[in-house]
Amino acid sequence: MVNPLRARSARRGVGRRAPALRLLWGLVLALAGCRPDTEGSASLLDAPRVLAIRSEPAEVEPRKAVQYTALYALPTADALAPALDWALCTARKPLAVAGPIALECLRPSGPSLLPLESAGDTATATLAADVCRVFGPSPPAPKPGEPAARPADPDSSGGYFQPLRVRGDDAESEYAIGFTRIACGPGSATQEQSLEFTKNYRPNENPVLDRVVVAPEADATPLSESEAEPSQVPAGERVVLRASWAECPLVASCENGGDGICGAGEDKGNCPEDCTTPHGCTGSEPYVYLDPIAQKVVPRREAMRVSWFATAGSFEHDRSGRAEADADVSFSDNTWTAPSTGSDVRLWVVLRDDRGGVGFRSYYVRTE
Amino acid sequence: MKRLILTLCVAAVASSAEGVARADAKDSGTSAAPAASHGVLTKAPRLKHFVEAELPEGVKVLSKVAVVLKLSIAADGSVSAAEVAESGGAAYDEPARLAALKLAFEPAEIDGVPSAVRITYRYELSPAAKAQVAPTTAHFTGQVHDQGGKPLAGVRVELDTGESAVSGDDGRFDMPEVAPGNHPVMLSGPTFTPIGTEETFQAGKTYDASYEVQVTAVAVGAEERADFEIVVVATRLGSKVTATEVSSEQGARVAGTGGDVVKVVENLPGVARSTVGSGQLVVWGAGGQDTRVYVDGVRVPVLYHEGGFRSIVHSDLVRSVELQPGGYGSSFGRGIGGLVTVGLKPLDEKGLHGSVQLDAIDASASVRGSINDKWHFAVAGRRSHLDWVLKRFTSDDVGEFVPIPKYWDGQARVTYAPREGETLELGSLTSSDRIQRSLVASDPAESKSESKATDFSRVYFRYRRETEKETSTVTPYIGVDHSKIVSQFGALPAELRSDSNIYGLRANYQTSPESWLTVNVGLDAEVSVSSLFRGGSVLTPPREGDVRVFGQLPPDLVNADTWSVTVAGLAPYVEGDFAPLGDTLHLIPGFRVEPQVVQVSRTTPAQPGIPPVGAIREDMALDPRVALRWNATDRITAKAAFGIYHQPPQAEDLTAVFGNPKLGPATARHYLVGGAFRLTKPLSLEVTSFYSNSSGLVVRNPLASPAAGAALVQTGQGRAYGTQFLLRYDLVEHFFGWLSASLIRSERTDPDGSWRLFDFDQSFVFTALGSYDLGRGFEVGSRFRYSTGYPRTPVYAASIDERVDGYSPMFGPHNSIRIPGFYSFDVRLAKRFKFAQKSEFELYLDVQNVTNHSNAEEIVYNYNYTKRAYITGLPILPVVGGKLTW
Repeated sequence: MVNPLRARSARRGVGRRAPALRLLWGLVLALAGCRPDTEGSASLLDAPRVLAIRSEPAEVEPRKAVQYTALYALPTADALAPALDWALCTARKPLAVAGPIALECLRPSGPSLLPLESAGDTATATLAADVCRVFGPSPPAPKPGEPAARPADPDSSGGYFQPLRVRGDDAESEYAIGFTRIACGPGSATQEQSLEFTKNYRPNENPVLDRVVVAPEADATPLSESEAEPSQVPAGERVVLRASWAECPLVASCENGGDGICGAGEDKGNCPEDCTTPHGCTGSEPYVYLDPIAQKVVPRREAMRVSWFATAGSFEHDRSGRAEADADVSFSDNTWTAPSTGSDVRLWVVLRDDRGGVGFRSYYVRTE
Repeated sequence: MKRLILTLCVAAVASSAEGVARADAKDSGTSAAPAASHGVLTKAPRLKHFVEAELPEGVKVLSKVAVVLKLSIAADGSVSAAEVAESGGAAYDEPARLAALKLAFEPAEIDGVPSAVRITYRYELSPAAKAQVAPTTAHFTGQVHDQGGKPLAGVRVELDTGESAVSGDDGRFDMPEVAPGNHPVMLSGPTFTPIGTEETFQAGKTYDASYEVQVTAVAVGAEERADFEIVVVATRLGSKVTATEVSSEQGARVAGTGGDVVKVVENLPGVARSTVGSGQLVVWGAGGQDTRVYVDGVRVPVLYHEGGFRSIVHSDLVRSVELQPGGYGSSFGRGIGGLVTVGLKPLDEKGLHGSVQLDAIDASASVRGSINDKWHFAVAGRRSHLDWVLKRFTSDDVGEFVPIPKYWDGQARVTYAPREGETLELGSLTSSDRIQRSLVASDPAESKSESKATDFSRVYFRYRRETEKETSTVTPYIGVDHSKIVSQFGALPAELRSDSNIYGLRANYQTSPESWLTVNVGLDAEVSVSSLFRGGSVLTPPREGDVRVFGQLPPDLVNADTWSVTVAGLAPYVEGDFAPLGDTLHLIPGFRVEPQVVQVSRTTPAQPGIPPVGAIREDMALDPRVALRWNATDRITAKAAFGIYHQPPQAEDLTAVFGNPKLGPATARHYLVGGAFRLTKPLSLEVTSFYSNSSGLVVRNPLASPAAGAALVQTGQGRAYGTQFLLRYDLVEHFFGWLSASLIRSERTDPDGSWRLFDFDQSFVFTALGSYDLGRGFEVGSRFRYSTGYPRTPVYAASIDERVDGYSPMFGPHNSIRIPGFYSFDVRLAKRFKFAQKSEFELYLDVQNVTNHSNAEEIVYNYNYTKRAYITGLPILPVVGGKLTW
């Protein structure tokens, strides 16, 4: 998707140039066509929407329980949240389908849907024993007389995922598709690669949004999470918001009582301080990855993405973040323009890591 | 200054006079110099009456003799003086000079007034005919007239045997001794573009022909014509079936082509309009990869550079381009779609010729010449500089937003003619394309980069031998194809590398054992050995039939495979042209047998510790083909054709991870019927209806858990049918043009067996174009195009993919809506400046989409798919360029 903001910026740049250059720019446009500005912005919450679905734990073994939490956002304070309909999708998505889930799971009910016990915005489930055969690297059991079926492909972080779908029980609600990362081990790997992977790979930890501050280069005032005491922003003001998360050590350390993170190479045996009750890092975690292209196990860092939502005003970017190459930086900035009239505004900030982990917080702002 | 103009103009018509004055086998050619002092030569002298030289007794002409004379032609057309400039032999000079004094010309005109001029005249004397004991030759006579029925004098009628005659004042010509059999006949003159036909002669019989030619107003020199003698042929059924032709001179004047004659093909009926920047050739509803491209018998992977701005062969080297959308003969195969064959010019020019061209997009140059009578050469090249231009005049990050194609190509040829009728040629073709772009976004998942490299090279050797009845051609060639696409969408990588070595051989022997029969036999062999690597998502790159929207990110799934493929095909073929009723009826049956072998290195995805197991697949393609042409009357021709075609699988699809190593050939059947009708003298209508069906098409496996190594299956079917029309006004006086319309429906099957529209279906394509010669070197041309938009699949809802925080579309019926129709009005203005003999500079302005209409090229949606908008294509696009030719 071309970023409309960038496209607009480019056109403004051309407008300042000499008329002769417009001709050349016309040629440029001719090469690529002219992309229209489409209406709407993902960051403006103008209808009820599921903004995030968090699995806890973030990476789950087969037969293990998982708790889901949906961040269901309403555009106005007086809107009533519908009850959520939760279901695991047990059907594998056909190879030819470009979407994230089998189409048969985007229905109110069906044989491929396993309804979940839920309470409000949370639900619980237990992953099936064969989840790594259906969605993971283990080949599905062949039908009698047929050749072995193809295992699922991993995502770009080497993960496999159990899909689920959530929907409000009202007619207008959209389907939201969530995923739980399954601990299935690497796909097709040599024994040495499997050993190396198992030794160094640690399950994903959901990231945690430490805080969001206003004017990070000045007074860095934290946004208020209290509806009663909202942050104050002048109407129409452009403010820089900074979302930050924890810095993660690249190398695990067990010295001096450990670093609180059960990292690569650590286990209960060699670092009981960190791994008796193992926790990962809540920022951009290092992890190992079986690169199917290079056919070797390589170290990586999680890229971090921040999604910004508000009931009013506008963000410069719907999403921001840090790419893997930029993972040493543990914050991301965005510019929010407050609505031009005084109002109470709700903001949500969702932090996602590369491996499917999710964290979120919401804030209150009053513009005057 | 006026004097200079006079000199230029006289020089310009000098070679024109040559075409006029070459009267017959014993006649001559000229070059001229002015006798008048001032003014512009508005009409060249033209030979009206030729006089045989009377040789002294005992003097005979044993081989062709040429005496070059300088003639002074009076204002009444008589020759007032003649002197020998270049001796043809002492015994012949004086008789030639005396005969020349009796020649009669239509007087030259300067500023519209008959005036005296001096010309250089080549008087040729040929051996006298031998006495015939029995009739072993045919008598070929006839008359040439213009479209109004007026006899044309000075038209040279020439056979492939070298025999020729020039029409007299009454338009008649005469060749008393012509070898029996089929002979191509070429008519040339100063006032029309050379045209060709074919006649069948029987010993002892007289063939009285009547030829009508389309006379133009502007005399074009013979050398000039040779430079532009490129012919675009469409809907050619077979070697003897009527073809629709567009001369290169017309092609170069069509608005929107940028002077690239090959691009005229896009304006012919049956060809879909390609999306801006794609350059894809979709003919008769077949996929772009199903249409094969050959350059002088050497298969090349593409016809156009990236973006479709230019073809991969310099126009100066191109003799002809043939587009056969379907139903072609047995000598070609391995493709279930159309066929494009680019013929290169024979290298027989004397002296040094060439051109230099420059515009905002690229620059090119060509040089052609002769070392001596036997050795000739040609070199041409082109390089784009659009990226360089943009960097100089726009911001540095232009390439981040749009793909700027960078390309170059080169051709080199050397020919050697050891003896008459034999030619040896060594040639090479090479082409390279690069595209690189990147977009850095605040969201790391939306940052993307893409680089694409496509290269190919071919080296070929050709032996060609032509005799009176036989033609043999052997063309072995080798080459390499290289392509590499590397992209990164956020964290999702995609890479496809392919390196192929190509070994090919085409051998053809044509003979005419009887006057009513021509037989063509040959061998078409090709072996390609490819090494490939692919990594990324199974759905990247997208393929025909994928249900998706433009710009939709592929699923975040990664896999990789390395494999190698050898595809070999050895196809002997035979084709006969039976003409039992002379030129009235041609029945052309043909048959092609092609054993195909496909070897793959791996049949299942790589498993650690398990050695790969390869496979060899053998298929036998039996392809019967037949074409029929019936010239019912002088005005009506009917035609029909049928053929079966096979196409081996693409190496890119024979992967155990992303494709299927067990794929076999796809099959298609083409049926077509049509007719050509000459409505008036310059106006003709050609109608062709066709139906094609194809099976064994490669599609994605629809199963949720397909078998390992079966991501693609061969269950797809296709069908296309339609009718195309071409209403054409041939070049008369100052104008030419045509209207073409195609009504075509092309469909494919979905996995459930239901039929849906082909992704590149365009149900209606209409083109109207014309060009008008304003005189004094000014030309204006215009083109109007309309085409139905491509089909697309509507989005009726969307779900939120929380993992990527983005909406995912939910689709309605496959390909059930269309992008809005396209229309564009283009204009071309050109001015030619002649500044030396055989040299000119052309300055042109080609403006596309003059009305600045916003044509929708693709559908895009807002973030949650509730709003639809369109990516629009070309705004008004003026391109100024120049070409120097000598």
